[in-house]
Amino acid sequence: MSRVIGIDLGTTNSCVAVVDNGQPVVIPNTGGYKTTPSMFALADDGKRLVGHLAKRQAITNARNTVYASKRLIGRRFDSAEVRRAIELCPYEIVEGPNEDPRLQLGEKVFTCPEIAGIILREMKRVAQEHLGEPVREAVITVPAHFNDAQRQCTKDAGKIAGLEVLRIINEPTAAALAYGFGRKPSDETVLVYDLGGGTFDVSILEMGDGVLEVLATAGDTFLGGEDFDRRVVNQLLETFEAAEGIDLRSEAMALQRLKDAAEKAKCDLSQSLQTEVNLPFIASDANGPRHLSVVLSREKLEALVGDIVDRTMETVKLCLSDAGITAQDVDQVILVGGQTRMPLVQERVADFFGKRPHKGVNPDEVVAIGAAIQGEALLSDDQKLVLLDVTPLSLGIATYGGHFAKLIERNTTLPVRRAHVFTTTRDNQTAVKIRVLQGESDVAEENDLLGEFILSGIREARKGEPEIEVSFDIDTNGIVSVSARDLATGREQSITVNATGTLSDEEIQKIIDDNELYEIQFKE
Amino acid sequence: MRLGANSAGQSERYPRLGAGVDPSRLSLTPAEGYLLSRIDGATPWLLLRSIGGLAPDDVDRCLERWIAEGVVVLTSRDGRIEKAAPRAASAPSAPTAAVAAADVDASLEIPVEVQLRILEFEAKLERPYHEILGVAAEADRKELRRAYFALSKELHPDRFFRRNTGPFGKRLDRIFGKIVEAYELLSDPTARAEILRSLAAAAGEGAAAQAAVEAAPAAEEQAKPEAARPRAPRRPHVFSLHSRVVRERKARAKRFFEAGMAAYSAGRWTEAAGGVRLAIAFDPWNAIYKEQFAGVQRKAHDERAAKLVREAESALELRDFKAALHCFEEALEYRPHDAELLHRAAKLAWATGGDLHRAKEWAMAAVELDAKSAAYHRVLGQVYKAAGLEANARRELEAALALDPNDEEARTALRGGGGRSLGFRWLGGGKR
Repeated sequence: MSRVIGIDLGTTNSCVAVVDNGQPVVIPNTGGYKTTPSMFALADDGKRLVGHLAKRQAITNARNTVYASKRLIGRRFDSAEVRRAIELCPYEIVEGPNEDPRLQLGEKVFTCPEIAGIILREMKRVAQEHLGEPVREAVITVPAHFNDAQRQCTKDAGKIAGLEVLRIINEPTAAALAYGFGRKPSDETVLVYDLGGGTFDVSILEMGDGVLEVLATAGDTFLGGEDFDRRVVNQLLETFEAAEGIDLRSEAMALQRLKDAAEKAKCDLSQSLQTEVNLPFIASDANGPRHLSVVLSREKLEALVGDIVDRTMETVKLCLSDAGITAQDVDQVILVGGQTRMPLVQERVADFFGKRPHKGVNPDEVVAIGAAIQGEALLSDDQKLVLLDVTPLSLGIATYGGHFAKLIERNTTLPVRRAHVFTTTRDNQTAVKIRVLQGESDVAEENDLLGEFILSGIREARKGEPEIEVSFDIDTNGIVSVSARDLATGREQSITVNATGTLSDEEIQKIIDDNELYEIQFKE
Repeated sequence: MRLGANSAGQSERYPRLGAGVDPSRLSLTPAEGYLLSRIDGATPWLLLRSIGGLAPDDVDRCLERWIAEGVVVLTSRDGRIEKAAPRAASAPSAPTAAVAAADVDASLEIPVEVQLRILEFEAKLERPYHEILGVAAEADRKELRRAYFALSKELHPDRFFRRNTGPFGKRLDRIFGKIVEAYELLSDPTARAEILRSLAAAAGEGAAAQAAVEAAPAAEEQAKPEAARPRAPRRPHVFSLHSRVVRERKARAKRFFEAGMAAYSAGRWTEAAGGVRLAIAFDPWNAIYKEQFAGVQRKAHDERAAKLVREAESALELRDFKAALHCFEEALEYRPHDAELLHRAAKLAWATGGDLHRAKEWAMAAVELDAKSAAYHRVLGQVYKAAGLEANARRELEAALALDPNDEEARTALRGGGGRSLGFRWLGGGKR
């Protein structure tokens, strides 16, 4: 039997792990790095580049290099997040036929699941080379607050990469699995603080003898390490403009250099108290070339991003209240994601909980390790580990008057199935449109639309008489399916909610076929 | 397990429903449901075996299972409850296993003993929550969690990931869902208090019922067991209500009600009625909603009827009499006591060669509601005439003329002329 790998498909970096002789290990890529940049580029000669190769040429080929596409996956083109990305990203984002954002690189347009698929394929390749055997199955992680569309797109990406996705699990849950692995069975309440490149999640779990139960999870879609970078970039832009009178905001190449430098400076300041940003020849005008040279202190950085860190603590408080516990009830805090290396983050967390966070896990690798552990546990004969995860978002339908009827509350243990009876609002109404939504607002409009379908053939009757039972299922992947039944006629209609941005099977197959053509280039 | 000598003994017994049992909460096949419906405390086991629907052996198995589960208790001929339901006390799982054996499938990728365990567990899903978790009713949070974790490890669907589990996959889903429900509710102090209260209430009624049975004089014949049977608790199994869900439903009902009332003040009656109807659907115990509903619904019906009349009128203009009649008919469903509407429907039905029987009923109803209208009498007379009831026709037409001597149409009809008319056009044919 081939082995199952765990993949942390990150916003900025991805990581792959496997359980080897009972021990979970991270698999280094060909360059010896344990993480691979989640980047993809189309070079001038039409070559496809992934990972470090893509990152290396990003400065010179910014328009055709995709990074952080995880922020776009499964979203609608008209969403705030996509609009923001259009403003900020040097690559071109266009609207696809399913109202989804797509990426135009040169002549070719890529879907987001396709880009994610290319990165997953690279991770699969890394694993295959290391293991010396083909890999077919994987567990892939997603941020806990990902909605159904984002999860489905990630699953599609796995398919595109030629992987059978055994399960989609939440990143903080995976981190907790890795933390709990090999520990003596004892009852513990654990809080995972996961601040990655583009996402922020908090999960609270209870661990017992071989069982992990997620009590609550909360997240902030609009928050991640890249927001820290952006603050630093802005600071550099302002400093440069004040000194030289030149605004670099419209210079794609200069911006890319600034972004890289900002990220590096941010990382440096986790080690040292002061760092220097040097970008020679960043611009030029009538007076000749200009250089950027700025000294940045840790203190300055902390002043720039302090409010972002404060925002994360608000999410922590919300999660604690959802779990019905207090900070004192938390036995262990686990920090996940590269951004948690920042001393300010560690201090704020330590202050809040009155104890130092757990040091034993590598924040970049722990998620992939957890995914590998879960994959192994699913396939093993002796069930040593059971994961009881929850749905991060409430699920329901739009009802009469634009209300949102929640049928499954957030933080409900999965798998779950709930059925409710609804009725018509007009006489002789023979069809109902069922709009499935995910979110927390009472107003239907303000939630994410997962999809809609029409149940027709309802017997003619006065309004309020027909009884239509709508059942919702959320499986252990967090993926939703819905069915509706007219209790009088027995007529049933079921759908796997196909959210905006997800691809049809034909589309996926076409992408898979397309990619086969490029297979040889992945192996250079 | 076969029924041996024991069944003969049981045959002399009178099964009846246990105290507080709500049959609607059991999961039964129609045949089992039929059997359960025949159990009245007066029909002996022996007779139940021959009521049809189930083979006698299956009847025995069913009854034994129900006895084991406490759904059914046995009484002797004099109406006394058998102290310990036979077998139920000594080997509670044995009858279940007997039923289960038929469902075990050795070809599945679940060990047979695990299959039996699943079937056994499934059989107790209707029991009180703490019994599902296998803890005492007063178990603390730690004990609850330990039980929950242990059961999760044992019965979580993931344990059989990708295995061929046949029908057991669905069973596991159901079981695990129930385990989660039990754990969540018992962990919520409010919900748990409610559960304990209703359990205590049910137990109280059960005990009272039993006392009543024992105190009852030896039952003579049929009627007695009926009287001795305890009344079902008013709201059996309240403990299965999820208090949080109830709160939410009430909150939702309130929102619908408020939206409905807002529509009401804005004069949008149909929308208002829809809102209040939904409020009642979500919170059927709220008296205010029900009280308001009648008024709102009447307004909504008036609105709907008025709209239908307008539709009928435009259909008339287009000479689409069939559609117009249909609209009047429908409008009458909303305003069955509107004399004018009845009159117009009757007139149209008569004039277009429609159903004379209904035309007569409408016309009569109109006259009954307003005997002072010459037109109502006239139309009724015309309908009678078309139906060949000359004497009745004459009476009504004369009444019309007495009320309005200028009613030329009535006069013409009395003279023997006058076919079916809309007043503006003769319509040929169709007259029987």
